Amino acid sequence: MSEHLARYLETLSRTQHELSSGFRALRRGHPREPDLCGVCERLAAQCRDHAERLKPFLRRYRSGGPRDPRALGAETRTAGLRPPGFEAPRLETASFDAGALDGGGFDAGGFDAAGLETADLQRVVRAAAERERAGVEGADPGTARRPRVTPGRGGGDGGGLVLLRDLHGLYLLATECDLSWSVLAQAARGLRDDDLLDLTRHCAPETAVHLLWLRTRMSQAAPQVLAVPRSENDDKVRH
Amino acid sequence: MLDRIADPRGRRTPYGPPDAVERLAAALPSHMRDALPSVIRLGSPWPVRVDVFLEDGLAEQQVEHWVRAVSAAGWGGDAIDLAVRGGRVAGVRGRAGDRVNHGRLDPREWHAWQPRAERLTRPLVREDGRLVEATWETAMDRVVARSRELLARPGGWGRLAFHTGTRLFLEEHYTLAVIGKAGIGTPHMDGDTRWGAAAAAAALAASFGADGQPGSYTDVDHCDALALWGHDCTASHPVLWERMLDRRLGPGPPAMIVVGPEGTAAAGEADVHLAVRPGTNVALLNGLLHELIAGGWHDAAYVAAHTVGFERLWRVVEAYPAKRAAEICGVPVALIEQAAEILGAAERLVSTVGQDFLGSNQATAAACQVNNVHLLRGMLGRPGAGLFQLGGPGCDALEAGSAADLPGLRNWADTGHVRELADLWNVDPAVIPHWGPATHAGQILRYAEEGSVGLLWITASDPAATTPGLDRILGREDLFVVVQDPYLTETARLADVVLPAAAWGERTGTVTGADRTVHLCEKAVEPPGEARTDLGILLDYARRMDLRDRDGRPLVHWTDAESAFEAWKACTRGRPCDHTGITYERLRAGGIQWPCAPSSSHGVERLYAGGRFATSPGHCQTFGADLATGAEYGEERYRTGDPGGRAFLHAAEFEPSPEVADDQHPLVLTTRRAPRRFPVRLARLGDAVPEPCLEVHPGDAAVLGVEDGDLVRVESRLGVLEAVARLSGGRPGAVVLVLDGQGEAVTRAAEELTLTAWDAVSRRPLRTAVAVRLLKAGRRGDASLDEGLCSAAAHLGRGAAVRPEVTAAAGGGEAPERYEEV
Repeated sequence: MSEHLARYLETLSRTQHELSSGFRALRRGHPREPDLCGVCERLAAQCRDHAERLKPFLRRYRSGGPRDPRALGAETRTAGLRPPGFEAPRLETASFDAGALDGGGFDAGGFDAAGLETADLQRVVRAAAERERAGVEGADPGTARRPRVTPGRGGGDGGGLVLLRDLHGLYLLATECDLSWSVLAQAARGLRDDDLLDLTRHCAPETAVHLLWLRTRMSQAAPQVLAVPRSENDDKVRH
Repeated sequence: MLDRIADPRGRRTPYGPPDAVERLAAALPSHMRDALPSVIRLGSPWPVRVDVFLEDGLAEQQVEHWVRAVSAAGWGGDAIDLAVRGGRVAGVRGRAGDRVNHGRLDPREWHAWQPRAERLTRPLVREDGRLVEATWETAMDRVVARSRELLARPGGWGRLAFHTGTRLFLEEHYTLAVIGKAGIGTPHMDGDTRWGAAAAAAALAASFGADGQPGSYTDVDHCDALALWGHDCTASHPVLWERMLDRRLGPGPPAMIVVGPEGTAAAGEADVHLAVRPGTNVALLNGLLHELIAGGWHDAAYVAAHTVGFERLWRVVEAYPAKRAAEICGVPVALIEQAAEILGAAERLVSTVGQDFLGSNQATAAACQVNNVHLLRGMLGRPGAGLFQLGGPGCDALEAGSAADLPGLRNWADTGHVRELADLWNVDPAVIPHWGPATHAGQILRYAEEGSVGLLWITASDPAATTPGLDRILGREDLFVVVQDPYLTETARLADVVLPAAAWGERTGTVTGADRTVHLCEKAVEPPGEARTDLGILLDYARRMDLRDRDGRPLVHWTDAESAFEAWKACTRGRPCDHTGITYERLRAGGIQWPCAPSSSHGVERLYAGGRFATSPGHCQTFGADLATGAEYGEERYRTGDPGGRAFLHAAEFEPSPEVADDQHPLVLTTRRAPRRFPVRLARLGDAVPEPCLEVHPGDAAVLGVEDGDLVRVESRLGVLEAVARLSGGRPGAVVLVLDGQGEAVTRAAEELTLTAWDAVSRRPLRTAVAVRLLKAGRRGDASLDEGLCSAAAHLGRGAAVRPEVTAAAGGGEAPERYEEV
């Protein structure tokens, strides 16, 4: 049973990483949207933190952990402080792309609702993860340095529709996390694992805010993008 | 003429607090106060002192007549009289009987009324790339033709946008709101308030349910403690500052806490001055709230009866004992304890929150924490307990709806509010933009840049002078720019049609000051040439556009300022900003505060008396948002946790920002723009781009081994820039980047360096100081060092699509002919 839970936890952890990379990719992909500044980094950091906090539970349930989860209570309670043993060297980003934790059954990127091309987001997310891996070791990705020269105009964003699609994709990812947290809360109650329950109580509201934020941002962007087509060959009345 | 700048304390009028009877009288509701003798009824013990500034050589007896007006210098809403002689404004005088200023004038007042150069007298239209004079008929025809053509396209409402400044009258703001929101139906209306008053309004609405300053200026008379939160009162509200200072010099002076940088007059005057590290305001406030609660200084009964969220607030601030706050903020712990003691012991506390809070890291959250101080101590709605969130001018724009909000402090997400407006205007509710949050100013410019907005109408604002790169957006071939302004501003030079507007003193209307006092500002002289009032231009546009309601009657049915005000009154009925009891007739006798119902002789002096707030679901202006991300909670959630007229105690963790200096980035960088020279030039390929200059304190330079003229790399957590060091800095630990005609690439790099955050709730960028480190990059003149900036400029030159006449002639540097005198 706990093997199933372990797999489920792994999937959640992976989705949180994807979401984290996705928020960062969103920021990078749309440098001309000023309101993404700060917020995306913040949300990315939260997602990363969620995955980080899941780690002790992964260990607990993966290798057929002890019957009584309370025996491990002391260990997890100090997990926030990250004692030396828990400082896995940037395991999470690497494992996300290498698929080392892929337990199967929950394929990432199972979101192709609304007939949108999700390939773009996937590509952006992957590229962001790759860039990060190639980046300075040990540098906090939240404060990754930008190129020295300000990019000129455009900066690679393809207008509102791309933004809307990226937000849409992230929303679906976040929904997955949201769902997982509520399911995990149930499981934690069933297992009488108070630590896991505390974790879901901490993370679920944050994920709920992620969803709200994505929805808010989409509702800002959607009407203009969808209802006001950009005029390609404008018939000018300029004199 | 009195020179008060040279001798600011020359004519002080010290005074003490009113006695207990008067305080009791001040607390009565207005209809009961009317029964009292006038000395007690209207009494403020602040002595009257009439300031007069007249043209040199002019005596008061020579003035032909005096005309009621409102301060044009600041935005405190001081009542003044204009001296008219020979058809010109020849001086100003403070109005003795007014409740706001008691005769005093802002020292800058006369300067603000001086005529400036480049006054527009005729409409201009663009012909063959040049602006030429035209008739009103031609100019308006072009605007209307373009508007109609855009509206006829799919999604026409989304193709027109309005950017409005703060120098319109209430009537004009409202007329514009009706044209935009009921006639055209565009959500793209915003303006200069986004960078100032919006954060203050957002904080007030978040805590109390609706915008509107809770306090009254007379609270300064009653208070026994004053707290200035990041508010340089001397600079932004000199008359209010005089009132505070007069209290401090009189008997029974109030204690004073000042949070903000060193070197201001307020900092020198304070009993407790907290020079916190830039960007750590929330940590300081959390520390103070911790001390207040832990010390048992909060009013537990008030908190229980009139607020929600106390447990959560304590959970957050519990982690901020004074010691921790002191470490984060870089101030002695004793000072925080002292400040908490003053706040905790005060019986009547007045707070003013200024730009250093509302324009800094976690702006709305920090401002909400000040609201929390007042809520915890029950310091609202009674004499001496006042709170002012002073973000910037333009509360008229926010109330009347020419900015992003719906008129009358209504909630766009509340279908009931939208229906109210639809009934009032007799239009289909579907026309009123309520399908999403209104577009903020930055986003409007983004849409203009992307090409989905085809007409941008800029009124009484000059955004091109302050926003780098805007000239290119405004220069787009597919964007039709209308500028309505008294002056030929930088923005006007880029317009397709320029409409000359009348200035203050040349038209009539009302202005609302910082404590909700509405004043009448009347026409004293004729506008020059063919210039028209802003109201006249808007009414003309509405008529030409043939905007009609559901029954085919004109949508904008008023004809002058007074009838526009009557229309506005109907819009405010039942809302927090009720103006229904105010008339022009009554305003001629003096300023009146809103809300003012017809039954009362003067408005409600203090909001939220008795702890009743504007938070009930059908009444509130917002359904709330997450302070950190701006994520909107939505109606359903709000109704579920119905606060029922109680205020929100919003909790916020301190979050470091790139603004906060640390060991890695020990210096604090600010930018300064050198005075702008006409014309604006865009960097082009082959142009020599001068490096920006960086002022460094010689002491810091010595530590870093940097000499005068060296090229240095400035690194923040956000970006990198190279600049030439000048050892002329005035303060150790601070460096100043001086931008002077570097063109867009460098300006943008500087912006990127200093764009420290986005205030998600008020939706404004926060460009503040930023923590940086300096690295010596080499001696000046090393060839390898120039490549960064030049390549940026080259990139720009290729990408730029500019109208030929906007770009200066290469090399010459003299002014190109962009505007032709006819």
